Amino acid sequence: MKKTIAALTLSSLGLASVPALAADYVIDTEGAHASIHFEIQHLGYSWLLGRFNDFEGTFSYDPEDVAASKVNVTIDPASVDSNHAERDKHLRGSDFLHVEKYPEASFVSTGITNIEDGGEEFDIVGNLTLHGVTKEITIEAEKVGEGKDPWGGYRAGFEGSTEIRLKDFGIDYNLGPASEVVDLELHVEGVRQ
Amino acid sequence: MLTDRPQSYGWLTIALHWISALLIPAVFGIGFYMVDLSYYDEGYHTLPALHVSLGLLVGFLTLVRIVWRLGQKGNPKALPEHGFWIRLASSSMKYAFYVMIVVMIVTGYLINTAKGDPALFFDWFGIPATWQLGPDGVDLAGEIHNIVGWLIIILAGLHAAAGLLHHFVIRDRTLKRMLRPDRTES
Repeated sequence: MKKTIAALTLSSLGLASVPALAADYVIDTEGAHASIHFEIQHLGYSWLLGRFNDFEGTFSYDPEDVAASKVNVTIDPASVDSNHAERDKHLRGSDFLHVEKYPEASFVSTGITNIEDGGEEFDIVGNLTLHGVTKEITIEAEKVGEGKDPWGGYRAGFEGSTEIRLKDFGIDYNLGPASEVVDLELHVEGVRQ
Repeated sequence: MLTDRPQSYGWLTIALHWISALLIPAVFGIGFYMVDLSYYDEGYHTLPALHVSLGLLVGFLTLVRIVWRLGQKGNPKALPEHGFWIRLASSSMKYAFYVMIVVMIVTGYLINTAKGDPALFFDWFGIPATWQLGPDGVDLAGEIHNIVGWLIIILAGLHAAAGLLHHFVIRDRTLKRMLRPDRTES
């Protein structure tokens, strides 16, 4: 308590520069207010949609200092779900995600760029690790909203999208020329800690 | 002639044996081939469907076979010249085949129906899903399906070699009994 008062006093006197404290959020996977989807063309004739059911993560976000935001997500690739038992089995196997050898995928942000629209839109640069390969990707993100929830908590939610070339991550099973790129779509809602 | 007698197999048992002897290696061969097909191969969809259908056929025939054999009161009896070890080896091989075939049918069915869709028997009808496995369960069932499939083929090779050994080397009636019923026995 004394320390807090001291800090407040110091900062109000302008004697210490206190960095803006970004709020920490835990992604609400427990309540399933978050999902990770992927889309890939099927032969160039339609889109196939699927999702990763199991993941967890945290982010920090301060609307006053968006550039300091961070996000960290780990995904269980074995939870891939395209609503087809044998395709999912194939996707988990060595032709694609090879989950036995690479049981975890992750995204760790390294920086925020292109902040626009008063901090509502920005690009998240970070390292995606998938199939044992780590590469830098950029997720275009947009804040959907934030505020108090009806149960005494505080939430903030975002959506983001990016695209990756499967070959860049060492997945080179031939699905045809129309199906070399996968769109990833992320919807996350975090509960402030 | 249709039913099994103390000295010989009847036609139904013989037919079930030889249909299985053709069908099981065929299902294995399709399975072995189809898993390495690329996305642009013509059989990418048709061969897995055929594998499932023929696998179900093996399942139906095995069910008939088990029920039928249970009704044959232990006939035919083992050949009198066969001692304890031959009887033990041949009957354990036989029961191992039944168990392994059932394991193959069950695991194949569970993989195929894991998302709630029925296992299709050609375009004719489907066996509905019952117990839906999660991803770990499906992968485990897949490994069992692979290992037991190979085991069946290896043991079927030994089984065939043993049949030939009985016929050409030991020169007893083991193989002949599986070719046609004994006419002298009524």
